Amino acid sequence: MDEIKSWQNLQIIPYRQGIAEYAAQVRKEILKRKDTDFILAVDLPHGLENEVMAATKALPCASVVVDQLFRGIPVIPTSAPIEAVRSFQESGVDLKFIDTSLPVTGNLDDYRYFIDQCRHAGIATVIKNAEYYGISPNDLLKSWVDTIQTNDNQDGFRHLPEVTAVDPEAPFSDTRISPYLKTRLQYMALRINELLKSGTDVVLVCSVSHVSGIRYFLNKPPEPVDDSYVVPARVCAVGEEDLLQISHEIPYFMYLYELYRDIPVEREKWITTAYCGTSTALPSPDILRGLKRFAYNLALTDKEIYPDIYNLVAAAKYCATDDYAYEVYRLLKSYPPSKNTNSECFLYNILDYNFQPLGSSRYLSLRVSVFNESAEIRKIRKKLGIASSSGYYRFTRSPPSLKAEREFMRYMNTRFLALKPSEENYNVHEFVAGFCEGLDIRETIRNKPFNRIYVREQAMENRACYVMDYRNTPLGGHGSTSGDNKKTPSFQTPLETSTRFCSSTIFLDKYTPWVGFAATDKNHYACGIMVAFSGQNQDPIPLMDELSRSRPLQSAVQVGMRYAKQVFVFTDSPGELEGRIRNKNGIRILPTSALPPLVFTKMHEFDIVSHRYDNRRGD
Amino acid sequence: MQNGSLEPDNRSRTVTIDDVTIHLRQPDTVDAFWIGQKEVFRLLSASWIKTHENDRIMSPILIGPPGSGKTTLACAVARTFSQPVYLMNCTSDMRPEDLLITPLLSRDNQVLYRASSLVSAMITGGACVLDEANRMSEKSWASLASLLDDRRYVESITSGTKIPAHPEFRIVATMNDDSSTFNIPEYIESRLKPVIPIEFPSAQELKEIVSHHMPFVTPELISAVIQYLREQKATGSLENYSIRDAIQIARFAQKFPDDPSMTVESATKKVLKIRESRLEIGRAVSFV
Repeated sequence: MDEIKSWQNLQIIPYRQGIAEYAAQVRKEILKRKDTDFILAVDLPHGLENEVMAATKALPCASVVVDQLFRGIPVIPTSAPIEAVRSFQESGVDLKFIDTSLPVTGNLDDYRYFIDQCRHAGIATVIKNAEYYGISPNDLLKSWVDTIQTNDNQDGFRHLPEVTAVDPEAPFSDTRISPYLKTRLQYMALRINELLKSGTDVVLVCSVSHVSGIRYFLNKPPEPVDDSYVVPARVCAVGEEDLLQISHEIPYFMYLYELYRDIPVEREKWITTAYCGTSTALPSPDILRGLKRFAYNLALTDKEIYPDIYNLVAAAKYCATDDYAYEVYRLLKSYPPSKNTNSECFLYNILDYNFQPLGSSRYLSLRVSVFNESAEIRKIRKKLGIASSSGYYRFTRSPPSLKAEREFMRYMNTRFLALKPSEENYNVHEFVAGFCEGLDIRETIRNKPFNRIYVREQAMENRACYVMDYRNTPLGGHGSTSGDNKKTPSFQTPLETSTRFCSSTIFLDKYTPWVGFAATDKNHYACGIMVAFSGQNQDPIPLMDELSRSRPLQSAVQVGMRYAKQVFVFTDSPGELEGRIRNKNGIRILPTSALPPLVFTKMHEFDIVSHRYDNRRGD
Repeated sequence: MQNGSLEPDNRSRTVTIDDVTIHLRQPDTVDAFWIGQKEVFRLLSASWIKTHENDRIMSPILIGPPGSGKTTLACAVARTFSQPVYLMNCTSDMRPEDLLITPLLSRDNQVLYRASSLVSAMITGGACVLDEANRMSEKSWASLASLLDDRRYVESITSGTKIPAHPEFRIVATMNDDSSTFNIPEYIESRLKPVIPIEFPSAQELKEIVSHHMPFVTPELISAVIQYLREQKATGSLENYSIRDAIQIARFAQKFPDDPSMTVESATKKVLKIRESRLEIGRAVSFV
């Protein structure tokens, strides 16, 4: 009980690595004790003070202190022990590193022998040739694996320091932990005991996974540990790209924490900022609300209160678009202070001192439009050997172009008709004479109180097809969305009239299936010949194969004849069809002047605004 | 409710809304079990979580190739929420009243109002799976607009009632990932979030799924079926196959344990109706 009494001047601040809330709590506690005398103890390895101090001084540029066993200490603004070190540097409180740089070993006797060999030959040589030095690789491995298995599960509500507060009555068994961890905990308890003996208050900033162990060993007189051997370590700068490898915290939130260190962490606001802070592709407020809710729900399935970067991006992907999700991802992984820094070491294999991964490792694939291919995407494509033209792109037309199509089809559907009984739709009307297609049971039952009978009649549908020949139409017509300030588009197209503006085969399927030929100038399209199928829901993609670039008008008319009841051809070159179409039944050839110029030119030119990758219909 | 009770009478399965008695359907009995692809299970679960009494449960869409387990996933997640499942197969000729309440004539020549699976789920607080929802016409979708946003009710013109959804009511739409998905109007698409894509399972997952459905079939036969289907797809002989196909082939092949002529190949041809020439072409291509 005497030892327990001496804990009265020990305050433990547990933390979880990298999370901003814990760093903020450490800072708050230290500021609270600003004018009092106390010792600040952190569970960083004794012997690495110089490296950690140097790296902390370089903040906000992120770095990692890595030793030869690939154990790393991330030096980032949101790390609680690093925040303690920063407070020491800023206010000069007494600071002690109480952990040990103990290498991996089986037990204490092995450890003594092991460090002797390390002093003599260097740790890298000893680890590589373990058997030669009389060290069992199995013991080394066992020590490693045991540590991973016995490490406390840190999952759940990691953003809430108040929930993380460790229960002092929590059971701890020294038989369930590895000799490596046991020795470290004993060593830390020993150092705390020494500090407490001075009678000064001790504030211990300590990982959640160590708290119960340290408490346990404070009650037991620990064995002395030789900590004179320190595994050599060096400071490596970490680039913006690799920050996710060394921390569970979102890099952008690290930056926000750094900017507003003296203001309480407002993660919810940060999340809103991230979702609303993208430069392009911002979804509607309703979708934003939904995706934020979804991100929080995803976090709950991970037993967390706040979503991590994976869940934030996943919510953006599944509730909005991949493009938006990519923008969110780019913002979240940005950390301006390290923007121009390249990582100085390979960070993928680095673990913390408990042999846990430093960062998160969940993967999400995003299919991003490459309309304006960024340098980053080009680099990835080059690396993977993907030609930028590969893949299946869908283009999205500009809203004025879509509007022009609707207006055009509305006009055509009211004036150029080829009615055919519908196979699916019926008109229902009250029985007068004749049963037509039979009784409509539903309507009859519904009107039973009025004793009326309703019958069905097959509805009529317009099954006409329109072939529009724009080859002789001058550019810059009504359908163009070019404003006054825009340049006149320049198309590379043959002078030969019959194939003018027919360099590419295209299709449209947002409202009406269209197939035809067009010429392109960046985002602007000028149609040569287009075929529109009214009242039909067929997939236009296979029809593209039936078009011939050498005889565009003839092939377009043939495609129309195959799928429509009546083909209306609007052309100023009717001679091209003379003698080439065998059966002219169902074809009506009209001059382009049969349509008002404003209507005719509506579908002449159009603009596209973006690409997308999926195969779903819609443009 | 002012004009009636929304608490369904379990014996007669009727409910009275605005003085109109509506007959409810029984929930579907499904024994759904989800294997593999834990992430999509998590995504659907997350979209159905309700964290507060004022929180609105999301209405997700599951998109994937035919036979990839969209309906199974929905049923499996509904099971974890301990909710009765109401399956509703959507068709292109489905009209708004089919989707909500249909009038029927009873034996004594009275008009009865029969709730659809959707409305039954809405009233009882079940989970409704709108299967193949992309087949529905725009008119039918329009009748669901008020259900899928904050209003959470539907209006039945047939019965002249406004039916509010139970706070625990959940809905999911499943769709095939093909060209027909364009039918959904934009104002409905914006209400159906998140859009969760389901990929085809890996070979190992497929094996586990088939084994789960047919524990009486030997693992060797299941492996042989899956191996054969994958090979045929790789060579181009088979355009695609579904989980359902693999189960059907294994089920068919195990019925002829003593017939040496009934190989995996012949069972596949019979079940999938593959003509001989198609497989031959595939082989020829693979040699080239």
